[in-house]
Amino acid sequence: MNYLKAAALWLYDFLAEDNLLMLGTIASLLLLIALVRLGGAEYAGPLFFVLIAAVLFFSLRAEVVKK
Amino acid sequence: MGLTAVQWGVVIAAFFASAVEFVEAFTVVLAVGVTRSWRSSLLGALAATATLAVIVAVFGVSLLSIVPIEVLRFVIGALLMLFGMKWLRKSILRYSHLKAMRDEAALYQREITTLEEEPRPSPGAFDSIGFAVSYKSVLLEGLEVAFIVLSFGTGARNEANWLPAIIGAAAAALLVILAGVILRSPLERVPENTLKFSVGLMLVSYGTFWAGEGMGVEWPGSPPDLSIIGLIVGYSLVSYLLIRWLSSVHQQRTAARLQETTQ
Repeated sequence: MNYLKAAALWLYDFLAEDNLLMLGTIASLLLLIALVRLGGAEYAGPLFFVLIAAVLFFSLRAEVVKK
Repeated sequence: MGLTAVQWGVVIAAFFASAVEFVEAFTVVLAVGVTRSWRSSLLGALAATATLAVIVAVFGVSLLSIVPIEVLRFVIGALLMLFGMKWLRKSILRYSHLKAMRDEAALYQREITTLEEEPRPSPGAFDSIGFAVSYKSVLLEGLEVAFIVLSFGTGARNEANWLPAIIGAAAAALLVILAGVILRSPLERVPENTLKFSVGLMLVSYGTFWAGEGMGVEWPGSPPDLSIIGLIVGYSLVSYLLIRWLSSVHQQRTAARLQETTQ
């Protein structure tokens, strides 16, 4: 069990190095799920791309401001 | 065996992603071999490889047989995106000079210094420290490779993607080992940032597509797989613009710092 916990913690640390990137991606996925459920599956693809590009931009912007 | 364009993409992405990780693991295996003993270093690397093979076999087979393919595609796609964006972000920062490039030679020297400080085993005895360092390094770097192979193998539209993902990773392992044996030095000339950037682009593009498929997104184009190419082109363009923007920020800051020091 300890090994499982250590593996989960390692994965979390690895993915959460940049929290904005992780939270932004998860928020985009949730938004997309809602859009598809509401019947907008045909618009979801291009919107998904735009959202992910925006997440990348804001994550890099946060890094620039931090420095 | 004829591979489709998407499957060739999987081979290329798995190859480059694995090559980056294998180069990092190779640096440590080499350092252990040179400073401690080749026996312990190679045994550690072999034991880690065997562990990884078991992980891929157990998790790969159980994932495919237990989890519904739509759920699997969504989860795998989301994880691929997170991995890819992390790599893409880091390489964009490095291209813009806002983050230092990775230096395999410096890492190698640091590893050698650390290993030389450790007590040496008595003559003829097995070097457990060398074994453990080599095992840990290959296992940690290899886990990322295993994850990528698992993702590409399970996330695609059909199950025939296992083979391209394994071919890509195995070819990378062979190439890195061959280059290492021939050169017998850390692989400094590998353009690590370019590899990470290209792989990051592919992981994000494939991840976006598969996560979207899992959610029920209707991708434009026929067949829908063609959207992956559109995504690769789109993310490349976005990354190019981001690098240009960040490079100009870096230049402005350097100029401002120079002005401050001259005043």
